[in-house]
Amino acid sequence: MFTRDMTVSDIQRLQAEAAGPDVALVMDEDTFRAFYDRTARSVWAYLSRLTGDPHLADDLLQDVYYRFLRAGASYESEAHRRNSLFRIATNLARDAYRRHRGRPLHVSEDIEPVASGEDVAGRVQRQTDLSRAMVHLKPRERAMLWLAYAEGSSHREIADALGVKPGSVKLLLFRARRRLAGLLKGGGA
Amino acid sequence: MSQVECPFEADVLTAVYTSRWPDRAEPELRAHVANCAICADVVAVAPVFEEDFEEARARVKLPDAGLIWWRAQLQARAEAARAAVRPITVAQAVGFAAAVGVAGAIFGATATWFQEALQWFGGAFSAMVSWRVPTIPPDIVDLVTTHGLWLVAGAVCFVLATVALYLAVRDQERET
Repeated sequence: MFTRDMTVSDIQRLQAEAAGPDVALVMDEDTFRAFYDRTARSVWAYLSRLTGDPHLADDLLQDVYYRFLRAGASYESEAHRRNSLFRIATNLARDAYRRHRGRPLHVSEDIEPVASGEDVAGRVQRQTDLSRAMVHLKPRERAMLWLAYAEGSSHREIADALGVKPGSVKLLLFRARRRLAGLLKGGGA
Repeated sequence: MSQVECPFEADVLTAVYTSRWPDRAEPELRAHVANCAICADVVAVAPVFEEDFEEARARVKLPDAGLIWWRAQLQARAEAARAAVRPITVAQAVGFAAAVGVAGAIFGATATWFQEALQWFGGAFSAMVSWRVPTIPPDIVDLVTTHGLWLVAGAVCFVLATVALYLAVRDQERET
């Protein structure tokens, strides 16, 4: 789903090219692997909901980590590092949105629930409803709601990731939540 | 300004995230949510996001971290190479422009038919807009006619140096 399947020669070429001296990146490979394993699923989910397009999220994910590695910033903590990652993801999703402006946001209808058994149809329905409702929200509203209720981010973390004043998050979040709740209840907001 | 947050919001969220909402939540909390528009919005939105988040995280097939690392390395190296070559590209462009300029100057100063044509056009133009085309100073004409060969050799060297630089950089780019 990410990129085409790699052939043996592709891998050999990449290995040969990567075998040279490492260029300066923000962390070493082992640290990066661990950090990626901890964060990539969340970042992908965020990008997917922000753009409404899982395939675009696949592409953007790689860019997010590349930019993160090249940022050359020093991070005080894991949370700081994670916030920075989400800020990069937000900016890339915003750029992608601007590039695709005028084209309606894609609503993924091919949702395959991972859970089996109880309430599968209900889950699919709720996800489809969410996808359709998110289309009517502004990108910043989508991002804010996702960070608040999927990621459980604090107002300060949301402000950091979205580049808004911490003081205004409360009001913006209230409005976005109001709007989405209205849409999910079928009120249209 | 109307109220934008409720002191019970955190309790409601905790109930949602610990799967206690709605059946196992405290009756007081349920009663509060029934009468609070803010908390009602929270319980309409938060469980949907939480469920969607878990589904998305479980569904995604991520590329291997090593692959991302390789690509970041490659991209970084390509960027570094481009940044390193940028001054050389500027030097090539300046060298090429200088070579063309010198060749043009030699041609202009030595080709009498070109000078005559230039004077004719200049005369016609100045008749229209009352402006005189500056003539080439005699010192420069003397310099070119006396040392023309050296100037041509210099121009040729410029061009050859530019081409050599281009070929060297191209080979280096292939190697990296």
